[in-house]
Amino acid sequence: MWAPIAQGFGTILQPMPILFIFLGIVAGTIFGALPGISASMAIALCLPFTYKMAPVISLAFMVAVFCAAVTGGGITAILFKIPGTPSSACTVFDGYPLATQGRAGEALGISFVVSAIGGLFSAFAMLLISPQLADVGLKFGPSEMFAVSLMGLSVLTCLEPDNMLKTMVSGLFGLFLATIGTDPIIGNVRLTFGFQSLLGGLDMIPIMIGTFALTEVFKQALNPNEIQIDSKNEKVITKMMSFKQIYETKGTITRSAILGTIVGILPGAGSTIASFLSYVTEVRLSKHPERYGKGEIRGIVASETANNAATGGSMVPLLSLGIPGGNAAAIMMSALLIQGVQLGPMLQKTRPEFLTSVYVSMIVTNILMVFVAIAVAAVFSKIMKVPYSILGSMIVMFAIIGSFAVKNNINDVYTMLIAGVIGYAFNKYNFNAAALILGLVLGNICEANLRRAIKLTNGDIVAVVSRPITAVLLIFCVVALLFPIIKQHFFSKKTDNLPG
Amino acid sequence: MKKQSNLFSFMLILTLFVCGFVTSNSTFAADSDAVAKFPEKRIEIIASFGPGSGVDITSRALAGPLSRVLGVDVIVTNIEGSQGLVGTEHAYNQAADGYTIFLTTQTHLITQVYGLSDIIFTKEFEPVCRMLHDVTVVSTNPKGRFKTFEELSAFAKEHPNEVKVAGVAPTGLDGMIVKQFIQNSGVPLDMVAFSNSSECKSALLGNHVDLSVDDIVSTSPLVQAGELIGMMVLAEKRVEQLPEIPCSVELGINATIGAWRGISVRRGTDPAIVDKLEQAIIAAMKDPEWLAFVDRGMMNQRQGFASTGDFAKIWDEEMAFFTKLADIKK
Repeated sequence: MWAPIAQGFGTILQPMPILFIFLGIVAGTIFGALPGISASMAIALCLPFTYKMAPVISLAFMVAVFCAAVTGGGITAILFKIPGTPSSACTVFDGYPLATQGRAGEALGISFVVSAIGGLFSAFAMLLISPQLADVGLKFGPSEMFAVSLMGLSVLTCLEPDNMLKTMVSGLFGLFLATIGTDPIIGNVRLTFGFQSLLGGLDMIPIMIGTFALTEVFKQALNPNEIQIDSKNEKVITKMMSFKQIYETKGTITRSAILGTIVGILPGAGSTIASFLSYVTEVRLSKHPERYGKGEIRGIVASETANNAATGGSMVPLLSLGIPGGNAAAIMMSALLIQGVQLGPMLQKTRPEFLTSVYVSMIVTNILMVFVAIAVAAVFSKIMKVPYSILGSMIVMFAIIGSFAVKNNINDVYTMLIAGVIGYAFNKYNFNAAALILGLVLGNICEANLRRAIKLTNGDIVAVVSRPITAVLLIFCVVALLFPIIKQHFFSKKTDNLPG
Repeated sequence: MKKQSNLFSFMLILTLFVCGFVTSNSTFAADSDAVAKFPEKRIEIIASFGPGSGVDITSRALAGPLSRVLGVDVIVTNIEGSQGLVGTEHAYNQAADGYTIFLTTQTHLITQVYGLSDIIFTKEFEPVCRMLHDVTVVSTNPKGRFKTFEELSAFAKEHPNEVKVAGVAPTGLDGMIVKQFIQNSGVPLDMVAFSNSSECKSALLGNHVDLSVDDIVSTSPLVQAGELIGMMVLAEKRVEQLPEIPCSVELGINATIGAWRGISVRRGTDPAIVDKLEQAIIAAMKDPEWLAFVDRGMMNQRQGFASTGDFAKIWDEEMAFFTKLADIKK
């Protein structure tokens, strides 16, 4: 076991591979930070450079781009409320409020450090127990995946305990939006109202950009005094996360790293879902769920640790079975296929150093990445110094370009604009935009897997929910869904009994 | 303030630059001059399926050799979604000047058979040539309920509707492959649709489904490693590189649909440009890089190349064939 690991370090710790990894990190962080360029698109853009590299080096380079892009997404999420990649959507919830409190530098520092911790955790997990992890991933069939996504949705009752009904409505609206497009099981077209452009369903990136960034600009424009941007005349300098903060959030970091790695391995999940699940888990476990969404450090920690941990997780099925866990991994696989390398179980037996080099490059990437991200964040945060009247129009421009860049399609820009208006209405009438996004992100995976599971048992729902992993997860869901309601009930009873 | 506006322009340039990578250029109407000079600028291949799919890897394998033949950049853009319809719509909206070429497979015909899109593919696009004709393999899990076709057949006849086969598009190619297999083998199978072939294979490896249909290149590594069993290839003869897997015709099942991939362009493209593209693709298919790709992917089992005229005939024949096959279940 140790010989291939030593070989992996030997392959990567050479001047040229390190140089390529460094360039990959720079490119990845910048692309990741730009709205509309997701991690997988960042890799696709860097693909032409890999053709001339040796296969091992090209894989190390693409892994660097991938990890750095997921981290870079947090920069614009915190500074401008535009998640650079969908996997940083949850970073917006607490990162942006911190930025408006003048603590943007602190938020950035936390996001970079925990990204590295998450990435390193999953890299070491892969290095040591990759085959076992791949086996665990395969145990998750459709019914298990349904239960996992339902666990994410079960947080709807505790996102905003005082406003439960409207939060639920928002979440269900998100689920409804996820059903638009082509039916995942029978393949017919539904709810497109004749719009050709809705055939592929609603892309989540324009909706995220609209409900987060555009809504914020509307809010500022219509009511400039509503939110104080304290940071506008201060320089944003990334403040590294202190050991004290790491120690204080160690529970969140550990849970999110483990959860992120596992979710990354699961078929059809990925860093976006990992980040959402980890965020909602922390909200649920917290003694003060009301602090989330208002600048809670643990919110950033949960989201950024998990999305980077998922990058490592998604490499597990790719390297041990040749099955890409997500779009990013699929691009890596096709790039290597063109070079004549077929990833898969045979590769692990014939050329184990190939795999260990990837793990080593992930470790190197996650360490170097922190410093590159600080430099990139410094460039972006300079934009923060301009007055909001200019910054706001720049954000609108970024939002439009970012939505267009997803598929080079003007319809995505319209979607983004409509989402911005809906987001503003949500904000005005106290509905919950985060719940809407949660429903949209988890809707497809939840619906498709439930229907697959039912089809696999020929309609026997009891057989679906009684599978061991599914049953355990669903019991958690029920408890999580009902607990806040029961708690509220008992709480209100007590207040009723109070004299006077 | 100046510093900020510099930064602002930098960000703007950077973002637009990135968009430029993936944006197709607006084009002007083809005149005789443009035809003679073709190609003068970058050519874009639209891959209407996601990264790692057969359409995607074929596009990427073609891009390099084609670029060397034509002397201009050839780039691949993935526009995925809704069984290739989103990419079809994108290609439909581009000018008919040969600078946007569309990687075509049977799915684009089958979605037309089912009437899923307003864009009538065969009306709006015209063939350039076909490059590959792949073979489908039916695989199963070694820990599953059956390993050979005989065992499958016996089990499925006793337990109709219980054998589950994982495939990608229910109203696409995989749906047709499964339909033809059921029809011609008399073995009742139930297809469960997954989002992509990776999910199909995960489901099969985890023993959540009984069978999976896919192309050889993505299945063979798992078969060679003993993780999966190749039950049969849907072809007239066995595959040279995997001689132990029986073929469907020798088992008496006339089910031989395999994915083919070719290039088409927007209808109305100047015939001279179509001809130039065809000749360029013929030359690109002699490039060692392309030959190595075909060889590694074991995509040389069948005669792949079909000229513009032959490819048009294939479209007509298969439209009729799929229309008939699709009606059977209705």
